[in-house]
Amino acid sequence: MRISKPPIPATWLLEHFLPGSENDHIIGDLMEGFQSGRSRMWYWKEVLAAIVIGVSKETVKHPLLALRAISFGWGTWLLFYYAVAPKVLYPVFRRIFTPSGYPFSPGQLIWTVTSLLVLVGSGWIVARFHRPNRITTVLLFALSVFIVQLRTFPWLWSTAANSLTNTRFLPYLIDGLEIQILWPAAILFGGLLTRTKR
Amino acid sequence: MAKHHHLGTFELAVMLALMRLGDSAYGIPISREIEERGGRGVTLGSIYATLERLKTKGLVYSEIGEPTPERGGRAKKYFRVTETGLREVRETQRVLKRLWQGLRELEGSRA
Repeated sequence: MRISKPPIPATWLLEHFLPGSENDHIIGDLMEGFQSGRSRMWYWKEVLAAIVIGVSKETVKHPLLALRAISFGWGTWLLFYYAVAPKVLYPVFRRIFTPSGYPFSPGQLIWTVTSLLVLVGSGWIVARFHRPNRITTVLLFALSVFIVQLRTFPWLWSTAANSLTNTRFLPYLIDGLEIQILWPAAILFGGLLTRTKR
Repeated sequence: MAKHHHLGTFELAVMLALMRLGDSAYGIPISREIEERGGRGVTLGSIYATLERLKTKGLVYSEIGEPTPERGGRAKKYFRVTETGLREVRETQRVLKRLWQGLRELEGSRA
């Protein structure tokens, strides 16, 4: 019998972001469903539904833990943003780089990389302190960051529209998208670093 | 008086699917059974969430089965209804029948 492979990214998401310790049977069921002729769309829908249901279930079961994890994550980020960065990083940056608001200036790029590293660290801290509910807590923290960043959506939208007629706006659009997409991704990556091989 | 768990509509659908499937009740056949007979699309995630809830209530139990190649070498998880579960389904059926009785709006309508 020829075995066709289900979408690899979907299976990867399932293996890494499905809450709970014993999920092999769910992954096996989805693979079997796909082998029996279900579509790729069905597979993706099932994977996303399984993750959302798993996270919701754990959040309802441990609401205070979820709240604590989100506070931990934001606490780490805000500590860096309001205490460490102004006192340590900015003075150093000012000596090395010419201040510029351009997203791809050396100073801004270093700032972007530093922010991403701090977010990886905050994801790691959240996962490390909530080991039994590691996946749910990290996903919730990343989701909260994504939602907070949605406040820039009107600006992103207008920059995207302007980029169509004037390429000058493109770097600003990329910068905005970086915050919207890479920030939550960095948190998830940090959470995955605490993963132990089964 | 014995404590009843009051099965919800979806819980009842899952319990009936388990009873119908007998020894071959695991994720994929359960979802197919509910889709075909219940006429509604269900996700495996919601089925497993419900099964876990029913398991906590002591209405079902599970056993790990054999792994197969089309499942990527992963084992199946079979579910079966317990004695308490069976009693609960009967009780729900009894209550629903009682609620149905004597409703003129439903008389003569085909199920």
